[in-house]
Amino acid sequence: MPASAYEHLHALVVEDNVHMRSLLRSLLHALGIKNVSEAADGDAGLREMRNHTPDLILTDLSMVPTDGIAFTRQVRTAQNSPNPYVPIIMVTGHTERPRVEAARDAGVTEFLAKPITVNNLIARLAEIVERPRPFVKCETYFGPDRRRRKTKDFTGPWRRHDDTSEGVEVR
Amino acid sequence: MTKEKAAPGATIIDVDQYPPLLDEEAAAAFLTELSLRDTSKRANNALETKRVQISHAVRGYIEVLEKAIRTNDIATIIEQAHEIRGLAANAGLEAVGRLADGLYKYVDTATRLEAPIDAEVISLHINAIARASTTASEAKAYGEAVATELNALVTHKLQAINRLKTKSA
Repeated sequence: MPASAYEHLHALVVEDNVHMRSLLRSLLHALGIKNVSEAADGDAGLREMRNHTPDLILTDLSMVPTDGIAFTRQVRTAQNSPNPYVPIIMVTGHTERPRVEAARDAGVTEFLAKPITVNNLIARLAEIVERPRPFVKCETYFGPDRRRRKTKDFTGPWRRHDDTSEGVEVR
Repeated sequence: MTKEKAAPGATIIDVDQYPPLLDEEAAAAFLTELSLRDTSKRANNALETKRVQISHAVRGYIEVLEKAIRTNDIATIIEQAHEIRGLAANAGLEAVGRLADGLYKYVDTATRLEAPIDAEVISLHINAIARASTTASEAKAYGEAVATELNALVTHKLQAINRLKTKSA
């Protein structure tokens, strides 16, 4: 299969540390993603998105003035977002659980733990390509379906005690 | 594939209802590329090349951190601790990363909540970071042990700040 089939892929790296940005760029290049643009915080990331609409985003969590959570929320819900469905991989290090949950609730697609390893990055990219997730839109959330855990004994389709067929609307 | 049912009031937009990242052919080609041993080897080489550069950067941040404590420059301490915690592990300095994380959490939280900062906590962290950042294997073991102790100390200090703030609220 020719590499040209995916060589147009464009990634955006939003990360405030120049060395981490450089590391991520090098890794993406090595994995076959040659078009990589960079931004040092969420605001710059949004500006960069409008210049070169990326196919996927890797973002840090802690940045100033606009962190990865606010950035993700903007990408997902802003009226003028260039691509609210873009896969977003959040690169997280020593972060407190509530912040990671907040990132998930902002619409992050995948998490990549620091220290970054090749295997983990490959796994996240493969997950995004191989198993894209439906999006959920409701009053308080827009983003990838957060219900990913498959329960062995779950016979579905309802997951909540108050689920009823009335709430269902599949577009 | 079983379709997920939407919660009441929610709409599910299925994967075929929004533009795919790659078309089928390109996705297959990309997945093949990702699975190749050569690809993985190339990426690991890239990581290894950057490791030296990152290690130098971390040592530079540590020097700035050591100067900052001498001048009691809290903003710089927070900034450098943040840089170190994010990078150290990719330089093979995991304990340094944990120590910097504890330092960041303590100083950042205390500053944001306008709580008094215990200079001894900062000093202990910075000394440990400096020592654990040397390449000796003994330093690595030391770093791991001290990081565990100091993380417990930070947890204790943050709980104290929390209690203080809850009382005064």
